[in-house]
Formats: sequence, structure tokens, C-alpha cells
Amino acid sequence: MHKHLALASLWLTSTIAYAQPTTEPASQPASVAASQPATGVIKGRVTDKKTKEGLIEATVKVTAGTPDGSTPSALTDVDGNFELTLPAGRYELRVYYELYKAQKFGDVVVTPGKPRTLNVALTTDQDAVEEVVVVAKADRRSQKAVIVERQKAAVVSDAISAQEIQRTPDNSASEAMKRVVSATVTEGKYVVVRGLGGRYSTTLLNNADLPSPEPDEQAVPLDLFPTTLLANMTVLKTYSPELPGAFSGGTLQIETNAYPEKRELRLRLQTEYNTEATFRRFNGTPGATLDGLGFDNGRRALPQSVPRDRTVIAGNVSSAEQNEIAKSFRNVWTPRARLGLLALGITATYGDTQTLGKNRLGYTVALRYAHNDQIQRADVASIRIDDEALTYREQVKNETATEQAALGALVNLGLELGADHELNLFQMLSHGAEASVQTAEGYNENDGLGISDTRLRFITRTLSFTQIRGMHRFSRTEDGKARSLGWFATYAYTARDEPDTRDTSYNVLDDGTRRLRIQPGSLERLFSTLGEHATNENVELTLPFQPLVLKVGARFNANVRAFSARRFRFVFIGDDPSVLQGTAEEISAADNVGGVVRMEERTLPGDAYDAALFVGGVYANIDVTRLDPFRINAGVRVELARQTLTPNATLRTPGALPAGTDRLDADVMPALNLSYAFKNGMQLRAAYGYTVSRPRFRELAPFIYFDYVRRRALSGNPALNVTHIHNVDVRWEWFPMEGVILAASGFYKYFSQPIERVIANAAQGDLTFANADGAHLAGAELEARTGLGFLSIYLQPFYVAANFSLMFSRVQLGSSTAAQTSSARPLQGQSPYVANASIGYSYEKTGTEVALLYNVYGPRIVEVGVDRLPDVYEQPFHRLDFAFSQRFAEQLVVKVTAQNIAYQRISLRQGPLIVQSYQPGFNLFASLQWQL
Amino acid sequence: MKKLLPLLVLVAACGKTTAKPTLSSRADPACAALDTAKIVEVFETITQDTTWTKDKVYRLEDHIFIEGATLTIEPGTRVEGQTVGSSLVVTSSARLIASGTKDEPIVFTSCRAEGEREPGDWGGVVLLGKAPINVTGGTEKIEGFPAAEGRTSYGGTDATHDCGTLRYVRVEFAGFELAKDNELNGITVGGCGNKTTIDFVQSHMGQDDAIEFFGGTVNAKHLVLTQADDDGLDWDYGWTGMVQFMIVQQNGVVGDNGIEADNNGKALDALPRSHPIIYNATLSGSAKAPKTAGKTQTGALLRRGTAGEIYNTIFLSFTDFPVDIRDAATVAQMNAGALTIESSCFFNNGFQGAWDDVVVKPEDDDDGGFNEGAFFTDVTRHNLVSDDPLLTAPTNLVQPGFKPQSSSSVLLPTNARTPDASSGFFDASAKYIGAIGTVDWTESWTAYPVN
Repeated sequence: MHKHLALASLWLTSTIAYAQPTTEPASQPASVAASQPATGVIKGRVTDKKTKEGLIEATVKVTAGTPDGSTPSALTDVDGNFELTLPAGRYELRVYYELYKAQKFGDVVVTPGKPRTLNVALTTDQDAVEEVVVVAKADRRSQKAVIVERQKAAVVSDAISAQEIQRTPDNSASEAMKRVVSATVTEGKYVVVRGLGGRYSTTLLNNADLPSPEPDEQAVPLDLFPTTLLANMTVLKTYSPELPGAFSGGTLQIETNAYPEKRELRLRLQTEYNTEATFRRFNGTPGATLDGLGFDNGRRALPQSVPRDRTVIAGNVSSAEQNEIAKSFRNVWTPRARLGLLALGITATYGDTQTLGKNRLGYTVALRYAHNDQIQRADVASIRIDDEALTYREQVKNETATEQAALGALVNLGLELGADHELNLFQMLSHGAEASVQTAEGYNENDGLGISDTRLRFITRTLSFTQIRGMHRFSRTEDGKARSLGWFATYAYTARDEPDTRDTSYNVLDDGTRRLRIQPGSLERLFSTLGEHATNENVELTLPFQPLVLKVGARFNANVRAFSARRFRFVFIGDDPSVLQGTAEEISAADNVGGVVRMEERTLPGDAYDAALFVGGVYANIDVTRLDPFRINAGVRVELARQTLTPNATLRTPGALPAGTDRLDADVMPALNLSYAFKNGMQLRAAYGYTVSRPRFRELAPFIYFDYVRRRALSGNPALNVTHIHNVDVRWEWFPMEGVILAASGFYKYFSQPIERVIANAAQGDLTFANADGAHLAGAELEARTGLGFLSIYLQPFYVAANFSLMFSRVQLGSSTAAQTSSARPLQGQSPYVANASIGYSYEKTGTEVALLYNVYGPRIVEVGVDRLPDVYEQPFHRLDFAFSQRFAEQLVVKVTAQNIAYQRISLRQGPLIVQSYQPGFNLFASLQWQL
Repeated sequence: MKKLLPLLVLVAACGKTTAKPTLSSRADPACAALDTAKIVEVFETITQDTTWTKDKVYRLEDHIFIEGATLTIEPGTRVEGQTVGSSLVVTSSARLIASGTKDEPIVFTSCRAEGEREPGDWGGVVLLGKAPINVTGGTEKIEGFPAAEGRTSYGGTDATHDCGTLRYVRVEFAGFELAKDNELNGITVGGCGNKTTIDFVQSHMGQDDAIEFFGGTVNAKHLVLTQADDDGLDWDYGWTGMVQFMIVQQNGVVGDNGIEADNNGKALDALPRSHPIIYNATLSGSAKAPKTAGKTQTGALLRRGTAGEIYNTIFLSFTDFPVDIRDAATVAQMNAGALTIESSCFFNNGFQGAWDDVVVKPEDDDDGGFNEGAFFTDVTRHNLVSDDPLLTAPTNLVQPGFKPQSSSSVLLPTNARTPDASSGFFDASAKYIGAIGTVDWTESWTAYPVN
């Protein structure tokens, strides 16, 4: 598969180009063909005389001979091939390429039905080489390049380019992702491809696996990646054996920015106004002075007095020690209001390329800081059937104020040793903090009283990703193809820290009296840390043989995770319940410790675990490209995976540890991708792949986490099995001219033993994971993208793009149904339709970009109904965004965007009743980019 | 040789027990120090018929499940649960025969030393069966366990399911709080059928409820439910059992309702509908002034579409309300005559004078304007609303006395309803209001330790 190699070598290889039969409207072949029905073809290859390598983007231009005096031209493709369709006649051609000596060919005869072959070998222009650095690379960040890459890929893929991302108001990878065909984004950061969410999408960063830093979510949060650091994002929708076998909905490939051809310094300053948070009352945590910079100032640290080797319970510590420990915790439970701030973002990137003889060294350094305040004010309700009608049971106003700070650094170093060897070193550091205050005010049906809950929470996520990769080309075959060896090795570390999450829960009596509830989740603190080391190595050998290319490779992955959590709770031991009417700080004050309250550790035996996943895979794949118009890409991958999860007993907690997991699975995964290329740029593809989906650590871990908003516990299931998936795809694509795409696809997937999130009991609604019997998913996708230049020359800068997906899925829950209302239902998170549309104006001369974008997804299940209550559907959200950017004096770009112009609310419905709704707000964003 | 093998195993096992010098690392350091030779550490699932004897102390070091087997516990045996997660779970394929005697009751308690024990130290006794419940699909997992735990399923179609026998049993300081609103009770009974025997059982200082019935057809007699953290008797999911002679005593700091009755919280009219029949109960609150207890305390909170009949019952000294009816579906049951309280005594309860939640707080109407006071004081229901039952010491938490003085009007047979003996369960001779007539059946086998 071409794409894969190109990725590994990224910007260093000069492999990317795009066929461009004509550039000027006057010389459109269509008009030529109309006046002269008999046409013929000139085709051939342009090569470097010395290296015999095809030259990309060399120009073959008709200089004389056309009846109307026009001068049509063609650019060579990635292999140096070109094709020109001309009316029958005699022509004069000129073949030229930057830094090479141009050649002229007179008297080239074009006869209908008989292609004329013209192979050209250009020699370098010695004078030019002395002055200028060698070839200009095609910029892989452009939308055109992305389309060409997609066209040439052996598998079905959809992508969004850096250029296109720039046109949108999107600031992070997750926002940009929703523009991709049949991709949706949930919770603002998790990608759902073809209705398959979280656990079914794999994220590869520069082709290497990226571990998720979330203990409770399975997916990689894409908001980790600012768009300024991204090159392209590609969603591979069909499987090919070079990819890790854990493939189901799609594999998202994120490529980071390369280094520029010449010195480039970019500074970007951005700010954002949001109607819900900016300049509004915003709940913060008292005393947390460094939250805005992404760090805790130490006030949330687990006090030194807490023993690290044993729990704080009677028998492990004396009661006097227990009380001293209780007093050493910061007695802060109540938020303090401030004013919500404008969001701020600063990004600086600097890059250059140095030429050292035949060798080139390029680099990019990027730094980033971002800060924003967000508020979500949600009306949350639960329902029930009372007297045979669906009615509200509880209605609660939930407010979550979240302060986010992010720091990022990226270094990319590329070394090109001659034309055949490339080395690359990539390092990324990303650190983010999320300080949030959640409050819930409303009615608690169980108590028959008002309720007022507060949670102070602070989470930091750190990701360090180091990758070294290389590409080596060896002896070349006659047609210029080289044997090559590509490899990479990565080491990644992710950490997630949640120090001192504090919960309080009050009952509010009818006269307004507040009374602390004495139960778990009230005067309770949680500390948790998660660290995961991951390494990923890949070697791939590409061996071109006539008429095919054989690839063999091996990949090794290891992920080792350690998680631990501790819970501490203050319990009331006094005699006078009126004390409970005080504030949380008054109740747990030092004076009360021992007599009125006592702190107990409530850490459970399942609150710490070690987990590991080792996957070794080998694969072989053949790509038969010279079978024009057919292309066959077939291969097989064998993977051996060992997955373990062991509850960790380092912290002495009495009682037996919960069960762990240790499983070994071997899988043979065949894949076949077929394509048929029609003459006119049409392509028909069909693919089959057999893949797996392994349980995620979180799904296996017995750790219990309390979901604050939905008030229920989530815990994993160590007995889960691996899911196997049959994937079938067909796609018709047409690339009639530059930048124009028409595509239609159909897909079907069958999941054997899919892992579903299930509700274990009707009363609590507690969640766990179970293997359902099976699931089907079928769908169709339509995509169109075109410039409007073909309508009129004046519409040249305008373009329109739209995509639409229809999906249908059905899960057979079998014995895992439990108390759920439906035993068969759509997959959770799968919308029956997803649509994207955009219209834009992009005029290079004035540096103006304007775009209006629309995105909608159909109703999707966010919550499975239990005990006769219907499933909860998130309602379609019509998102209308606008973006405008203007370049000034080559150096300055001003961008203004508006998000959610239609001011739509997100709402969730259960039957006829709305059970959750909030206004994400209208966002106005402005940025200033200065480029040197 | 074949016959010798079990003997050898036995000898080896014995050798192991006697030679054991210290307890395993699973043992809770907070437990009381005892002669280790006497302690049996229980940490594995019980899958074979087993008998526990009174010469040992059985320490539960985990949630112990009994599966496909019968556990028999001899009279006088002490079973202790260790802290941070232990309980005894009788799954729906198993039975527990814990049949003590008046003089040698079986005691389930905390492993901690007397004086250090607290409610919620351990998870209590869980009985699960296959009798009908009204949750969709007919089965449900019991609360208090991680959701992935598959052995906690209960409910089915066998109304005569036998979960075993609890007789002369005390369960103390139990009720494990797994997470918010997700706890084990002192005694948790899910889907047990009417062949199960619960008689002379005390649940003392249990966290969450003293005893909770999740559906099923199980009956219970001679219950002593003292100082639970939440409710005394709680029922849900279509429980249709019978109860006679029940005492509930709530404390003012943590206790909630005497009775909390639900049909189904999500589908209030789910069938089979909860419809227990209760004769002769004494429910005693903390006698605090309204709104001054740690929780809102009501004699009986009847809600979520429950039906049920309560006769000959004393509602005494509840802080906030004598009885509260909630939800339209529940009111419909009252109007249909399927939910009633008759021939009972209400005394010294909060707001007993203006006995309607609408009067107390108009905007807080949760029953469509239903007036509890008007309903229960209606003469056709034969309830006493101004007679002091004159119990000996109902609010004494250490040495309570629930026996009425001989002059009490609750002892007058004319004030009581004759229990319906047709089912063979009720004792028709109990022609008085309250759990105790002239003979105090709580004597000798119950206990009221503070810690």
C-alpha cells in the first residue's frame, strides 16, 4: 500500500503530485473535443536521466499546433507519467522542469485511437543547481494533495487536510474531524466513525499507536491535538494488513506537521468569546492559583501524613493517627465565584531546512499555550411511568464550570541522506489541566427533598510521544522503483492525575435548610493516578517485482498501565444532627474531627490495578498495480496478543482482590482490496477485511467509578472476550478534474461478540461491559466536492462540498440484556444519518478565505432505557459555522470565525420527554497569525 | 485406597488448620484479636454442602457466594464479616439454613471488637431466589455489588422458591456502601419464595435498611429491626409476602422511615404489584421535633404505585410525618382499596395534627392533593389517633421495651382486627395492636449493642 510507506517517510519523499490535465479554462479538453471529434493521446514518462527516477509535476506543454492557438499542458504524476488528449494533428511540445534543462519536441503526430508514446529523460541544469536547493516538494498539507493521495490509496479512506482545517472554525483535531464523511464527534473529543464510537476507532499518530490517557473512556481524546500542529487526518475505512489488527469502524491517522522548505516563523494569537461562559459568573476552586497554567499548586496533593503502603483504617493506624491525617487534608469544599474569561491561545512555530551537500536537514519547533473557561448549564431529568404515563421523576439543574489550560511542545527533525535515506525524529509533549466545579440543584425523588451537590475536580493529562523513523531505498528496478525498508520506533507515556476530587451532597428542606447527607459521595475525596507506557515498533520491507509490489513487515506493541485510586470519606459520628446544617468546611473542621466527624479510608480492593497488552504481528501484502485498470491489494496479518489485568495489592487493603484477566489470543486476519480504474478518473473499489477489537483496559478493570451527572456506578468486567469483525466495503469514486470528487460507498460489518456497555441493574442503572451475541452494521455514504469554476470563470474561487451518510445497525444483546427495555437496538452512539455541507470562497490572489459550514447528525442513543423506559436519544443538532480569513501583506492572516450561529441547544429525549438539554453557546473566535 | 483418599485429605486439612499460627494477609487488621485456632477464614465461594459449627468463629474475608449448595449453620455459631467488603450471599441456586434457638441464636456481626463496631462494617446477609419480581425480563441484579458481578441475579417464576431458613438469627452492624445510593442492607432479600422461612430475626444497626425485600413471595414473622441507618422495612419490585409481629425502632441521627414501600421506581404500575399484608407491627420513631432529626422521618412512606394492607400497627413518635403517600399511581391504589392502613394506632408523630403534605408545604404536593389525614382518620378505618399506646421504653436505644402497659388501649381486642388465618400464616389469636401483646417474644435472643 502506497499510502503507508509515504506516511512513514512523510515529507521527505517526493512522491506526491497530482494529475492536472489542464490549468487554464481556455484550454479545457472538453471544448477541444467538441470542435474536433477525433482525438488522440500522447502519453509517456519524464525521468531524471541520471537516476532514472520519474520526475513529478514536470510540465509537458503544447507550444504550437492547436487549431485555436491554445497551449494546453499536463503535469506528470507521482511516477513521472503524463497523458495529454489532443485533437488529431501535429504538435510542438516542450517538456520542462525546474532546475532541469527543458527539451523541445517538434512534429509530434497525434492519431485517433493510437496513443503516441513520448518518454523524456531530462538532465539537470548545472548552473541552476549551484544556486538553488533541489526540488520543491508538493505540500502534503494541501487539500489537492490529500485528494490525490486518497485517489492513489489502495484502501478506502477519507481525509481532511490542514488547508481545509484552516478554512473551518475548528481549533482542535476533534472539531475538524466532524467534517469527514460519516464521522461524528461525541463529548467534543471522541470520534465516532460510521456510527462506531470510542472503542471502535483506533488512533495512529504518525502511524504509531497512541495510548488513551482516559481511565473511563476508551478512545483517545482528540482535543489533545491543536489543529495548528496537524498536517492531515485520514480515516481509513477499509482494512489492509499493514494496519494493526484492531480495526473496526475506522483507523484515524493523524499526521503532524512536517518542516517547511524554507525558513518559516509563525506566531498565532487567538481569543474566543462564548456566550455561556465569558464574562459570566464562573465557579472556581479557592486557593488553586496555578490552575490557569495547567498545574496544581500542591494544595491538592495527597497529604504526607497519609501512609503510602496501607490504608487509613482501624488496625492499620491508631485512631489518634487517623484524626491527625483527617486534619491534614485541606478543608476546602465550596467553590468560589469569579468572572469567566475570554479564551486565549498562543502558538509559535519555527522551522527551516538546511542543505549540507547532498544531504538536507529540516526541523520544526512548535510551542503552544491555551486557556479557556467553559460553562455547561444543563437541565437534567429522570423519568418514570406514573399512572401509565411517562412523567418526570426528578429534575435537576446541573452546572459545570470548566477551566482548561493546555501546554504543548513539538519538535520534528528530518535528515535526508542523499536521495535514498531518510531519518526522522519526532517529539511531542502535551500537558493539559481541567479544573471543574460541578453543581447540581434540584429534587431528589428518593428522599422527597431538594438536593444540592457539589464536586470540585482537577484533572491533568500528560502525553509524551517520541518517535524515530527511517526510510531506506536500495537498488532500483528498471522502471525506477526501489526496494525499500521503512521502520519506526516509538515510546509514549501518558499520565492522568486526578488529585483530590471532592464531593459534597446536601438535602435542602422545604424551609431552605441545608442538611448534609451522610452517605458515600458526600464529604468524600478521591485521588487517582494513571500512567501508561507504550512502545510501538514497526519494520516494513517493500519489494517491487513486475508486476506487483510485495510488502512484508512486523509490528510490536506493548502497553503497560498502572492505575491506583484512594478514597477518603468523613463520616458523622456525633449525636447532634443539627451540626449537619453547617457548611462542609464547618462540619469537617479540625475541632470536629474525632468527636463529630471521623475520616475513614474507603479505598476498595479493586481500586488499583496493573494492566498490560502485548501485540506482535507479522504481515505480507501484495499490491498489483500494473494490472491496469485493475489493482489488487491482498494480504494477511497474523497477530498474537496477550492481555493481562491484575488488581494491585501494594496498598494493604484487607479482603480478597477481585479477579483479574490473563488472556492470549492468536488471530489470522486476511484482507483484500480491489480497485478498477476507469479511463475518465473513475474508480470502483471493493474490500473485505477480517479484524479484531480487543477489550480496553477500562472495560476489564473492576475499578468502580461514580458517574456524577447520571448518578450511577461504572465498573469493568474481567471476563470479556475479544470481538471479531467481518468488514465489507464497496466504493465508487470519480475524480473528474482537479479538486473534484464524487463518491458513493456502501459497507457492511458483522460483529461477533461485540463488547457493549450494558446496564446491570434497573434500580441503580449501574454500568458494566458485556459481550453481546452479535451486531450488524450497514450503511451508505455519498460525497461530492467541487470548485464552481466550471460554471463560470467568475465562480472560479468558489467551492462546494457535501457528504451524507446513512447507517443502520442492530445489536442482539442476548443474555446480556438484563433489565434493559430492548433486547435488540441500534448501536449506542450510531446516528441513522450524518450530513456535512459547506460552501466557500478561496481566492489566492487576495488571500481571502470564506466558508459557511453545516453539520448535522441524526438521533442517536446515548443511554439505553431500562425497565420499560424507552432509550434516550440525543436529538439532531444543526450546527452552522462561519469562517473568514484574510491575508494582509503576505505576512499577516486575520481569521474570524463564528460557531453555532443558529444558537442550537443540545437535547436528549426519552420518549416524548426531554431529559437533558443545554446550550453550548455561540462562539466568536478571532486569531491573528504573523508569518515570517 | 479410594476410601482412604478423602480421609487423607481430611487429615491434611485438619493439620493445616491446627498448625496455622497466624492469619492470612487477607485478614482485616481491624478485627478483634481472637484465638487464631478458633478462627476459620472464609474467602472462597461455597459450592458444596457445608456446615458451620458453634465451636468456631467464621470470618468472612470477601463477599462469599454460596452456589449450588446448602450452607448449614448450627445454633450458637458466630459469623463475622470483616470491613471493606464482606458479606454472605446465598445465590438463587443455593440455600442457607441458619436455624438457631431462643437460647442459642446465630449471630452475624462485625469482626471488630465490641466497642469498636459500627453500622456498615460489613455487608450483611443476602438471600436471592427465583420468585417473581416486576423488573423487565423478570430478573435483576441485587444492588451493592460491582455491576460486572454475575452471581447476584435474582427473580424468576418460582413463587415457592426456598432460599432457606433464618430463625433466631441476629445480623448486626451490617450494610456495605458500595457507592452513592448503592448499598447492601442489613438483610437483603431478593426474589425469595414462600417456602423460605424468616422467623425470629433481628437486624440491628444496619447501614441502609434493616431489611429490604426486592420482590418475591417470602413471608416473615417476629422481626426486630432496630436503629437502621435508613428504613426499617423496605420493599420494592412487587413483593407480596406476609408479615406478622414486627418491631421497628429508628434513631434520631441516622434513621429514615419505619416502612418505605415501593412498587417499582421506574414503571410505577409494573406487575406483579407489591402487595404485602402486615399484621401486628410496632413502628417507633425518635420522638424528635419535626425537621430536627438527621433525616426526614416518617412512619410509613408509601409510594411508587405500591399496594398493601397494614393492620394492627402502632405508628409512634416519628419526627416528620405519621404516613406519607406519594405519586398518583399510589393514590390510585388507595382509592381502589388495595392500599390501606386499618385498625392501627397513630401517636405523637410530627404534623399529626395537620396530616397532609399539602398543609405542610403546598408547593411540595407529591400525591395530587391526596389528604392523608382525612383518609386515615376516617372512622371506617378504625384507626386510633389520640391514644398513647403506653409502651414501656420504645425510644430507649440501649434497653428498649416495646411491650404495652396493661392499661394500654392497644391491647383491647375491640380496637384490633382479627388476623386472617386462612393462609395458615397469621396467628389469629393476636387480637391487639402492635407487635407484642402480653408475652414479650423478643426476650433472651435479641441484643441492642451500641458499638
